[in-house]
Amino acid sequence: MMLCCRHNKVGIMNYRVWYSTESIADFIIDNTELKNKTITKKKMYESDANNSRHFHTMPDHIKKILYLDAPDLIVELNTEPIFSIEISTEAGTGHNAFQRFARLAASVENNVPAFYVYPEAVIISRQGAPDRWDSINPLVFKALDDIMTLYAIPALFYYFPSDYKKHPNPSVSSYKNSKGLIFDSNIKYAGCPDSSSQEIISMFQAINEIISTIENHGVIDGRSKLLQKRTIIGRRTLMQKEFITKGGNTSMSPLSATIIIPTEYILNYLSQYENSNYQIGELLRSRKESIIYKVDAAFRGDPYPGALAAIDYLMCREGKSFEERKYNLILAWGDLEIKEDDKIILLSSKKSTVNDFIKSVKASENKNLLTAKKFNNIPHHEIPRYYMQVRYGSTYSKVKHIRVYSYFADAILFPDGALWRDA
Amino acid sequence: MTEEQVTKAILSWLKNNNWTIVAYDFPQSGTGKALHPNKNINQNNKTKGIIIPDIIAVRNSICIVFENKNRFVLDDFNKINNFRTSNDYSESLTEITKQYSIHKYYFGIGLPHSSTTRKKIIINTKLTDFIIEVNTNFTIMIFYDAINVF
Repeated sequence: MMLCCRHNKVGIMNYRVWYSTESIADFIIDNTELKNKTITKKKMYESDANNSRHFHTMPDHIKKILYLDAPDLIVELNTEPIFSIEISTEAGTGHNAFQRFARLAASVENNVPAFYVYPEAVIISRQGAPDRWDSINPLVFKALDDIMTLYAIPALFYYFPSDYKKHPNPSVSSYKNSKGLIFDSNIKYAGCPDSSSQEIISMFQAINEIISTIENHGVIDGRSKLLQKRTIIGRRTLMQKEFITKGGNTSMSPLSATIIIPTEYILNYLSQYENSNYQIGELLRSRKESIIYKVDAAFRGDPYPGALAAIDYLMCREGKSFEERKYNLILAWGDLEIKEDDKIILLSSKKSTVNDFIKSVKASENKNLLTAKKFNNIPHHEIPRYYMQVRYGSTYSKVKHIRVYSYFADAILFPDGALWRDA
Repeated sequence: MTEEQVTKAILSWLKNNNWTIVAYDFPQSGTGKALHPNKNINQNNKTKGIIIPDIIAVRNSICIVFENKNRFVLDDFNKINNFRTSNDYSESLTEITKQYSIHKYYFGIGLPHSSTTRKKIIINTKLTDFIIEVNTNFTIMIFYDAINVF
């Protein structure tokens, strides 16, 4: 019997579906070719930070996709992940369209095709104001297209079905109770999009294309052929058209909150941390210019981590790792002022301090088992988790926004402190 | 049995019995409707957070609100009792169900059938208006229904 080989056709085909909810697993299995395969369903645990009891039991190849944030579903064939899916029902205005972007990035950065299902618009009801549709920020289409160009791996967008087009006036929407969104009527698929909508049928077709390509060419060769498949080309073209027809441009949020400045200004600002024994390292100096993402808000997570990831792919990246950037990517918390004469930046804020960052990191360290002084201090059921932390440190134990910020940002600036990479 | 399976089994049963599902939620579904405390609550030095019920359903001017779990948890019984006796979320609940002309709201628990926790459930029934159990084959058993809601 032929065994699975990374480069040749796949012999024995054992699929595993890792899911956030069983609904999504059943929805995808029952509506695609997966229904004819040998399948095991497994619950996915997102991180050591939010599920310390179970996360260490996740296989290493799945952990790699979860290192930034967890999608709703990952499908693997013989221990090789073949695609992931993220389904959102949120309104995608401004920064919010990018809230889940780090999940897609983690998938694609591991050469795993990603599907993003997001509403074209959602009905927003506020007391004292008429209902309105909040529509998606079309810049998300360009961000996905750029990530596809960088990794040559599909990152495909499909609309969560709604009656936005049919009823531009939200007060007459037939689905007002569910924010204008059309969910599948089968309780088995509770929370999933309507499987009879053309958008979702198109997604099932793309999933089937991935399955057949990978079965025919093996996982590695199959992945490299996906962008040439007509089903995928067609969806990519449609996404590019949506960017244009919806008035997409590079002045939209979150890019509207960025500026490009000479790196010299950043180095001058950071020089306050240099002394006779320490000089800022080579990474920041290696790029002439830097992009600053300005967030004048209290230090927190969503939607900023995903927006930061999107800015990287939209403006900075020229290759697969953060080392291959045209510009440094800097996250600045506060009101930013550029002093052209002094070639320096000034940062002020009453909302954020560097100690908010430190406090979040410290809180995450409560999950750290590495401070155990003796073997007997480690409860038996915690030994595998301890061993995982020995290997990965606190990679999976930190809260999501700390993981994402420290992965994407070359430097994080606060009015009273800063963090940066030397290399 | 998972909380998701409990909730979905009860949803199917309710639909088959002509209840209209207003909202539902289970871990990571992201589908629930948030109930905010009444405007005067947090002004009176009581701090109450948002609650997302696992099921809100309506039939014949009656609304039922479920808290579901995959096992017996006393805190859930106390939470439901607080919900039904304090009225702290009435404004939000009324707003969500305004199109159904609701006359009465009832609050209960959904959980898997378990002979090992039966005693604990019996002792605490009075904290709820109803208790619905889900059998291993996902059929439903009305364990307690004080006011004949079902």
